[in-house]
Amino acid sequence: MKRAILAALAATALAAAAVAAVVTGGPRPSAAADHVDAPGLMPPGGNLQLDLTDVYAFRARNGKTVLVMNVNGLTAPGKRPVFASGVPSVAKTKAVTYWLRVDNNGDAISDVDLGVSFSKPNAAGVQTMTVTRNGERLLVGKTSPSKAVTVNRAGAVRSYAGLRDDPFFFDLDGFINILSKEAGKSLLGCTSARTDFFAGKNVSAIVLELPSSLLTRGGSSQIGVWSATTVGPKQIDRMGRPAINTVFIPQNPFEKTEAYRKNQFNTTQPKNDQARWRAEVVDSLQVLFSLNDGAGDDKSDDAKKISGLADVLLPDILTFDTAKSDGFLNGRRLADDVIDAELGLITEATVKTDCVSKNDRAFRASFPYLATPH
Amino acid sequence: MRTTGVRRRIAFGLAALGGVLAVVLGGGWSGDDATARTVGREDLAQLVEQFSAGSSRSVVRRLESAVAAQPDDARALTLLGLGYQQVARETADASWLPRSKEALSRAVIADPSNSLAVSALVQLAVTQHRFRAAIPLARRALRLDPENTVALGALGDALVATGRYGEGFRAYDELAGRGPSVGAYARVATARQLLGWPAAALDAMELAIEAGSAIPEQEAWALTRYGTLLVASGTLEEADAAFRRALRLSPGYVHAQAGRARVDSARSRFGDAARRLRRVVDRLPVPEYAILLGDVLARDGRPVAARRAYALVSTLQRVLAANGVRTELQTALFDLDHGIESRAALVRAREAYRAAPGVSAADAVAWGLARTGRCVEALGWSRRALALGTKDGLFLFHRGVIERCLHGDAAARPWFVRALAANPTFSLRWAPVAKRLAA
Repeated sequence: MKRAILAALAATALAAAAVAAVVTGGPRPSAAADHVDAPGLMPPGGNLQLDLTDVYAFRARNGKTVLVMNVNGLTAPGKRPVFASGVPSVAKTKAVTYWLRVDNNGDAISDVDLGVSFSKPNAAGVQTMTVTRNGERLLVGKTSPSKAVTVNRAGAVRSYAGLRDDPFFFDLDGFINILSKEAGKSLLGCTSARTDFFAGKNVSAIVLELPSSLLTRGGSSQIGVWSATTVGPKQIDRMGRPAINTVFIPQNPFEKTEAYRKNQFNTTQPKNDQARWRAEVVDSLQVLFSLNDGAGDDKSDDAKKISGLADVLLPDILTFDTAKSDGFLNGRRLADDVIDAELGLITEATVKTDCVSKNDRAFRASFPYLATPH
Repeated sequence: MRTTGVRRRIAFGLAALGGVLAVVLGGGWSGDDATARTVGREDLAQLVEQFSAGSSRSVVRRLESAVAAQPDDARALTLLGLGYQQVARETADASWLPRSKEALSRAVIADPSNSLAVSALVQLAVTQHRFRAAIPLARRALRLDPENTVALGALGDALVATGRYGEGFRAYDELAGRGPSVGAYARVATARQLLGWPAAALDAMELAIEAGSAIPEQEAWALTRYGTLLVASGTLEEADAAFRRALRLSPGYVHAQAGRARVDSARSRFGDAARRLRRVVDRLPVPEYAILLGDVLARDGRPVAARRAYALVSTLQRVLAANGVRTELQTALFDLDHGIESRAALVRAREAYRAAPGVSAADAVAWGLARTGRCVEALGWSRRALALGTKDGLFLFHRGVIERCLHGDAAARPWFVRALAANPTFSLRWAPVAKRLAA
């Protein structure tokens, strides 16, 4: 049951985009991913380098925990996007930090802050990466701006930062055109393989692999993970599970009249999510649930379902049992096909798949796990 | 239909296009939806791609036929206006500028809500050093589209040029806050330079290079500007590396070639510098490089060749003026430096200050007064020129000359020391004088 409820969250993302497709003639490509989740589909802070696209947390075969955060969504092959080191104003330059935050006692407050910062790139595009844990230096290494992988090590910790194939896979076009009557445009009823919109696109990935004991608190293997980007003290973006801000926080494609609050969401903290954002999430879910009314749906338990979902969706944290190798909804593995599970739920099993069941490139069996860039 | 990140960045990089003859400050992240209403983002992306591919003239010819077929097509007129500015930048032929103005004015008449066309007019005004006229135009473009970063950047430039530093720097901050771009961060570097923070200016230029651009030429421009700051700081190896990197990105890039000549000249290799600069001036005949060539030739002991280069400067400046470019400041400084009719030059420096009362014009007035023996008055103008704390070798040298005229060698010496500390090769003509007087 819990699984089903959780799966609904990305499903609602899909419904939202479907409505948008009808209303506006099609959302922009980024609508269904977490890419570009600021007003006007701009990246938060106007900065793709600080725009989180996805977060993953999974157990490696060696038993350690792997945490991944991606930025620079939809990078074309041949481009060499860098990680931001700082943002200047006339008076001063503020440092940029990429964060993976870990709550290990269930209070939605970060207990372990993993901070990743970068130097300016040298002429070859290589940057120094520094990883800290609660302010103490854990590791210093180099980025991998092209296909060659530089693995940085310090004790039992490994780090990678650089250009990788975007691990997200989804027939976005088929989804945008889900209501199209034109043959082959919609993914509805698909029986043969369809196109992964994110195929051939790269991201800038930060991958950390570390002993789970550096993340957990004595006795419990449960953690909650989210990522954030900051410029000086200011938080620019944050995300835990995919698409929470994109789908549930106004302005939504299906609630066009509401004012934008996406940037506010990006700058707030998970511990306040229930208080600040629950009403918005419930409101969005009500609209989304009403979409199924015509299909002979039993509405009597909607309110209860919505309330249950809102309990799970917020705070926006990716929950993960570090002792288990299961995938989504236990953390999120690279190959997990979240879309299929979610499609089933939102369409009440009318649609079970987008017919894109795996990434366009095979994932590496070994660190840094993400596939070679295009 | 699809708009990939890179496409977006190319479109946003359009700000670079309206750039100017010598200074290209791309706004980067340009107004998105609002500009797309009249001129599609894809149109702009295509335009930039075509320009990047080096076919600006053929793009312009195509747009001219489109406009001939449909004289009220605001979209084609806007792109054509931008195209003319691009060709002007590539050829240094200022006669394209009035054509740009005509096309853009027609575009605005055809579609008064076209923010992009208005901001292209702003860039044109900045190119022509008509800064006061640029300010209300920029505000109009921003009213039409508050997200128009082309207009925001140009507004900052015009405010800074007219001495309204607080407002101008705020515009730069706002621009930099809207996302990383060469144009935004390079402007921050300019502000920091004006404030006399050379290390911080270098830091901002490094961030501009880090921000990068989908347009290789824009990235090459950033590297060239970075290299020029490095020459001023006396780190010639690094400067040359930056210029060479720019040339790898954009082969033959003329401004980087000029940068390498600056390095040659800073190393007293005047023959090499002159050879490079001749090629530069052949490709891009702008006064700045013709003056540099003349000064290099003079230092190389070739006065006849130097005079020929200086004669070209006057011709070029007349052509610029004939095409709407205000040249008072540049011609005043040139004439004062080269001992040509100093009184007339001072009059022009004052005109320049009236038109754009910034620190550069104040310094030119100070220098004009000093060169005509009016050192008491000159001191006040020099104070004005240095009021921001700018560590400019020339400004500081001019002050030294004024102090020497008023108070003698001992009082002047620290100013010459400071001029050389700010930039050991600040002027081919005056740095050796400063060295002698600082000793």
